[in-house]
Amino acid sequence: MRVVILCVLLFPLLVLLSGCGQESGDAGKSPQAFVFARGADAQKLDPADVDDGESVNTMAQIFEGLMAFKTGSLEVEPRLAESVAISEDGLQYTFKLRPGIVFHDGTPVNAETARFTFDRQMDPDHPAHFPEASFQYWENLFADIERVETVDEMTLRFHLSSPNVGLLATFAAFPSWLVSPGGFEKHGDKMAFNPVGTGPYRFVDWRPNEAVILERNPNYWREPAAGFERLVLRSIPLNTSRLSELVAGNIHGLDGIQPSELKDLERDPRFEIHKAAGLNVGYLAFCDLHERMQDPELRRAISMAIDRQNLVNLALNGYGKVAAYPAPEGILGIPDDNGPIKHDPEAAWKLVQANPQWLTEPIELATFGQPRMYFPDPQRIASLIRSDLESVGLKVEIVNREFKSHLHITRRGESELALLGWVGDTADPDNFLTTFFHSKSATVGSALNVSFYRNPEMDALLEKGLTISDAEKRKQVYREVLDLWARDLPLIPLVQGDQITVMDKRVQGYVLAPSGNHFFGPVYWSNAGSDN
Amino acid sequence: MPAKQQRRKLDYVALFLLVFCLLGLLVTPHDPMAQDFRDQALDGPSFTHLLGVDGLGRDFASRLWQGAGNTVLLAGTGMAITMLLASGLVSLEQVGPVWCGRFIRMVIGLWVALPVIFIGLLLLVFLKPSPSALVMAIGFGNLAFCFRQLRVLWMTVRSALYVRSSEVLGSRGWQLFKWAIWPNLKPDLLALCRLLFAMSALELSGLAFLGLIGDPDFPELGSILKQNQAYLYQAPMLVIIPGAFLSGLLLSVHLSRFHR
Amino acid sequence: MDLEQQQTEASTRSLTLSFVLKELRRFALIFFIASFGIFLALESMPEDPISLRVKNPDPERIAEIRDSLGLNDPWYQRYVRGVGDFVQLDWGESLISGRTVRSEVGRFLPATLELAIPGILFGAALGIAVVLIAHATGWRWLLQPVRGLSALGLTVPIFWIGLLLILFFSVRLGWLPVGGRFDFAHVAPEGSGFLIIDSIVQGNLEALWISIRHLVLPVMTLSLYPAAVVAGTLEARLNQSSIQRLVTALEARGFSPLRIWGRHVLRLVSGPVVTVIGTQAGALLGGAVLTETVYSWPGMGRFIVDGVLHRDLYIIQHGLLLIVVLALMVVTFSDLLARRLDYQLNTREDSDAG
Repeated sequence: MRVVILCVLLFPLLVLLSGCGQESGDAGKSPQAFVFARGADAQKLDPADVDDGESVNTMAQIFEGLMAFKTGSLEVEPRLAESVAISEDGLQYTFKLRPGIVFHDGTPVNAETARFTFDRQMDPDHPAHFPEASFQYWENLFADIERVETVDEMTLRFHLSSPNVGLLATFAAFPSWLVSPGGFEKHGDKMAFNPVGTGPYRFVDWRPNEAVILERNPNYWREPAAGFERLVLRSIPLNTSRLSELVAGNIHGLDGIQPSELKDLERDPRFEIHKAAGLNVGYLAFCDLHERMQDPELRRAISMAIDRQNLVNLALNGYGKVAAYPAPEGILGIPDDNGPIKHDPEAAWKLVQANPQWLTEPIELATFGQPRMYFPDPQRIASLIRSDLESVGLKVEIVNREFKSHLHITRRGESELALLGWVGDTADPDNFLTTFFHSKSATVGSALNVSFYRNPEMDALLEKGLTISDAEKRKQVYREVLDLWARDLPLIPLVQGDQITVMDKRVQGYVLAPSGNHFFGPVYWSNAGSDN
Repeated sequence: MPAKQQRRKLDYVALFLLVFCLLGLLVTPHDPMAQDFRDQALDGPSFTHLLGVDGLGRDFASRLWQGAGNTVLLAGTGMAITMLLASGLVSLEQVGPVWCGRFIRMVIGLWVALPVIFIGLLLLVFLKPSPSALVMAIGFGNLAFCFRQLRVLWMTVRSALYVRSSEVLGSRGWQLFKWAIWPNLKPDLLALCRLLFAMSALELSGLAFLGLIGDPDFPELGSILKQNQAYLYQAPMLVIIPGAFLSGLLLSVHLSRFHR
Repeated sequence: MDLEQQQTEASTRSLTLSFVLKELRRFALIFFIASFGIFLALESMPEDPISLRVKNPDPERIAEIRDSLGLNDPWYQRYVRGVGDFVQLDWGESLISGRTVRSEVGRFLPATLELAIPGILFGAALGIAVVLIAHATGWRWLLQPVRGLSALGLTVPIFWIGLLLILFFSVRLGWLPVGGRFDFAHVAPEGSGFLIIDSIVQGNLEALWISIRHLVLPVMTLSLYPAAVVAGTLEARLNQSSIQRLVTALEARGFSPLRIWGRHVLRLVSGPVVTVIGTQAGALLGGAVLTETVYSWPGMGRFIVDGVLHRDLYIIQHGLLLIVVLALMVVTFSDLLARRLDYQLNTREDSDAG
């Protein structure tokens, strides 16, 4: 019997003593395949019908748009288009296509094949406008496009119903990446599982919950061509397992890492951590449908009680920053300061003491399980907030659900406090502020304004902001929006999470994109990187 | 004789461990929920913090202690639910009409095929995730297994020669149960309880590890392990100790059964 | 004499037939209970699975989709249609990925079987081997690890031992892969979905080697529990006085220990072993879920857990029902097998197959 007990006690000890930072893998040999791991599998590989990062990051290797973001910036440049011309009145966008490019299936890229991508999203009667697909981005981002015109073989013109200053950038966003009509002819409504584009890698196989396998596109039209023969995008849900694969040398890069895991990797010479500010805000919403939360004093007390810097330190381990305003820094109209919310637990304590009616029953704080870019560990955020609130005398009960159920609860306003976040689709202030504060997005059941904040004054300001094209004047409007927010405080912006990618040092050529997507086209292997 | 002594010793070890764990629900050196040591997060063992501080600034030893207490309490409750339901069903099956017994056996036949984790998931489709939902999941989940074991035990004892004899001698009902059946049922019943307890505790921590316990801070060995998984490479002890503690606890309970 | 034999044979056959019929009836009843139970659970789900699908939910569009899926029909119509669809293998499409549930099951079920079957076989073989060897050789010290093994299998959390095995064998020693089924830097063999079978059929030794390496740790982890259960059952059986008497008798006839233990005793105890594996099918499946989670194994367990967490209606409805049906089949089959292997069960009244 003692043997058994010894075994049980010794094995963990053995594991512990053996340490974890062991070199392994064969150094010096260049791999033919680049293996990258993320926490979930892609859902669909149809640019017009997705909203999850994993699908977009897979498609970013396969598809390209008429326009593209310049490497590492949010500025756009023509990609599959050679040039773009915008008419004086801003109502016509004319794209001249680059000659000699073919899709992976051999279909040439010309005005006819290019407009397929736009026709199928715009025209509900188009055969490729699948009934079960949602095409929601078209409605959000391209609503101003009235019709598409084929001027000549290589020229495509878009006619708008009203000018839209942000439209050119959306031609670089994933919903407008060009899809081959040949792929639709061949695969029909299964085209989402057989993507055909023009990108540096082409699709080979998709093994759900395992990996998406791509291979080099030998006919890629520009330099640098794909750096590897094969590109494997694995899905490994458990954070620990994903990290173990990296440390064991079985994969060359990963994302969706817990910031607390980065401390050791930072010191490890084998890996390089790419990080940059992300276009997101994680926030705490006060649901106005609950009587207690309608009390502005309580909202103020809570805002003063939460130590947001501490959230950044302990839940994000420094990989992120305090969100001063309900939209990330650097967006038009968002000031570059610490914002109106101050951390003042003593004042909060006094407020709580003066209002014993807040303490009748614990406040419900809803959180969720899956990591997001804004909250790498939402549960840890929740427990830190609870600790802060309890130290000023409030009582809090955390309710943890899976993300989908959590969304449902928050959209119906069933929890008094809810943790949630928003990843920007574009870098426009409207994308954040209308989502958070406009009453039109406060319908119970489908709300994105999960505070259910309804204020006609705010609605008017937000609508006004959309019509102004002059940046300075627009900025002024959004300043007023922020003033209203600071007065009423329907939500507290908490943190802005960094986007983090960890790579083997020998993987070169990777640059983080501010849009949050991975572009592995230019990535290549260099053994020189391993010497330092 | 030494074997018997060793059994006694193991029984005492198991009993002591269980009581010790439950004690954690009443007293711990520090508040297991309070994040009083945020500035010392992930520090190693010291005199004030015997097992160090976890990533959110809580005393790890206190969390572990109370966590073990909660695991024992919840698994014990789950086990009690299973036992009560199963013995109720067995008596109903034995005493009730024939169709009733057949129906029960059939449903049990279905129940056996459903893993506890799926029963837990099905419950969580419409229940709020919480420790009590998990207790229900394991309580119902082990029902089929327990029912079958109990039934075999009952049949064996009921048809045993000494029971038949005392029946012939005129013992009936409660008398028969008390004098002839119960003394022979007891040791096997206890063994079944030990087994069920270990199963319940493992299932509970498995479900908690999958993140289905609700409050992420709730001190339970499985959820502690899950919460600390993020520090596997930085502070592996925070992951290894809860698992080792649970294994040790269950092992001691389990081993006390061998020398019967 | 001849006539007598014929008569007994005929009666056995009719017995088997009526037994099979009875089993079938039971099976059908249980199927309806189970499908109705799952249906009820889905009915009481507080969320609307359709509205969870999209980032910006639009009430009109949701109503449209609900209509097209027939979710607004009365409940009995939906239930009957659901059962009909299940029987016709028309399992609908996942709300999230848009793939048919059937094709998904076609991928994930082989993965789970490829993990579970070796896991059970290896575990059972390990349990039987160690116990029999200990008894046959009379090496009592071997019994200590036997007890240790069955103790470990019943007391160590699967997810924890899985993590430790990964840390030790994969990260520290670098001998084995951390997780997954295959290294997709290489080309995986296609065909039945069982990677091992496919690579043998295609004579692809490299792929075979890769798949086996990926199988080692998960199978080890998963087999711990069956090994424990089998060893425990065997131990209890072998200590029964009837077996002890048989062994003494055979020894007296001068049979070699190999023949006694490897043939006669093994045949006697195989019935209970099969039964215990059958009744533990559910528990094994639960273990498979945790094993699949820790080793990122793309199997049914993870598929269904994800389906439930994402409220993916048809995956819950049909996938879960399929699991129940499969587990039931395992239980029934193992009952039948045990009946053949163990004459005692046939005559015993207290077996609960009735």
